[in-house]
Amino acid sequence: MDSVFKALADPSRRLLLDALRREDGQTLSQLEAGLAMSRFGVAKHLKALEAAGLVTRVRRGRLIHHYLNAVPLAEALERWIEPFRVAPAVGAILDLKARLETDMYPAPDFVLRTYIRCSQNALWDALTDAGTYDKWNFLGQSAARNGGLVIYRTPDGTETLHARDVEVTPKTRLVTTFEPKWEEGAKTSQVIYDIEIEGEFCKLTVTHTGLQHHHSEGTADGWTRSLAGLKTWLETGEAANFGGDHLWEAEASAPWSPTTST
Amino acid sequence: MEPDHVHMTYIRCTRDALWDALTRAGAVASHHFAGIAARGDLTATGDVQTHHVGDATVLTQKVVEALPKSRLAVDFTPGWADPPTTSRVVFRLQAVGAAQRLTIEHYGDAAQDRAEDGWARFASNLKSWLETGETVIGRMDGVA
Repeated sequence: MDSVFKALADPSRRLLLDALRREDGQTLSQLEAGLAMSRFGVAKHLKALEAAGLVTRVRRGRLIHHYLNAVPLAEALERWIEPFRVAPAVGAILDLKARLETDMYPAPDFVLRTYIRCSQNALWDALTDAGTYDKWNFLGQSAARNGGLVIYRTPDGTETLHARDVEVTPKTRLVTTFEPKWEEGAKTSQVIYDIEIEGEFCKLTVTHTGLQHHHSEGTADGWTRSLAGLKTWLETGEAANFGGDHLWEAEASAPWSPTTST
Repeated sequence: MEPDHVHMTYIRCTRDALWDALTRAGAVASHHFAGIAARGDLTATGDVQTHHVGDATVLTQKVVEALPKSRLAVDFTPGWADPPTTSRVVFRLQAVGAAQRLTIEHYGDAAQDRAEDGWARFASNLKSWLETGETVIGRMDGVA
């Protein structure tokens, strides 16, 4: 309990707790951006808060997210103040403890933006005409549309993904579900394609949201490859599948390997 | 240390062509989305490349580490910040089949939103130039 009060005695550390109370799950970079504190200072204070049990670190892919853990403080309050407090408040904090202990942290959205020199019609067609997906899909998957549902298959015919139209604003915005069929119990997420025009060019923003796992665990890699393929196909007229057979085996050099010294 | 921005793309070109496009001033001026003029090649540690729009120096890059055709780390100092702030940019090149994977990592960047969009533009233009010979985004002086 001493470490809790020692941790709280520092105003910088209280500012960090405030920041996490406003928005939980922030990375070191996010916390640094939101506070007038050096990166080193933030890291140092976070360490003290973690040692006191007031902040929990969770690694999701390459990034570490920091979560407020109100339990040690609640326990201290319970000891001296509980007799004067309404019990449900403590119950709420114990619920928080249960929530923090389950693996239900929301994973951040994946967003990728690219600029493609083509007409708006050409880009819209490429995104909605399932018959052409094999020209740029990173795994060379083919797809077929049945009304609002698109089914993707690998070359051997295995169904890998279902994508259902959720919102269609022709030429400007397409929202679909993302229903993986390649693994048991995979949860459905959502993909948003936004098209804006800049002169002769299209700005395409793809947002993959509602993810259960951090996107560095494969999702980002797939989108990066497929959208690079889409751009090459639309600009050169040649099919481009920046994935291919070698992805079926474990990649020797993972694209998101941790960076060394900078 | 985690990067503030990471942008990755795949480009159908040779490793030599990509390295050249990233380091040689003449190539950079041909594909840079902001239509800049460039001076100085980024070949060896200590080399400096500056980007200009008219009389203004909009960017200074200084090589911290160069592993030819694989990795280029530069100190990145935009000309628009007052006082000047230096961040670190690392370009990584990897062959993937017949294409090159380019990863751009930007560390210690204060101007968050602006730089993120800048890298998307930079990478898109670079890719278009290497694959088609044409640039994608209109130049800042208004000439497309």
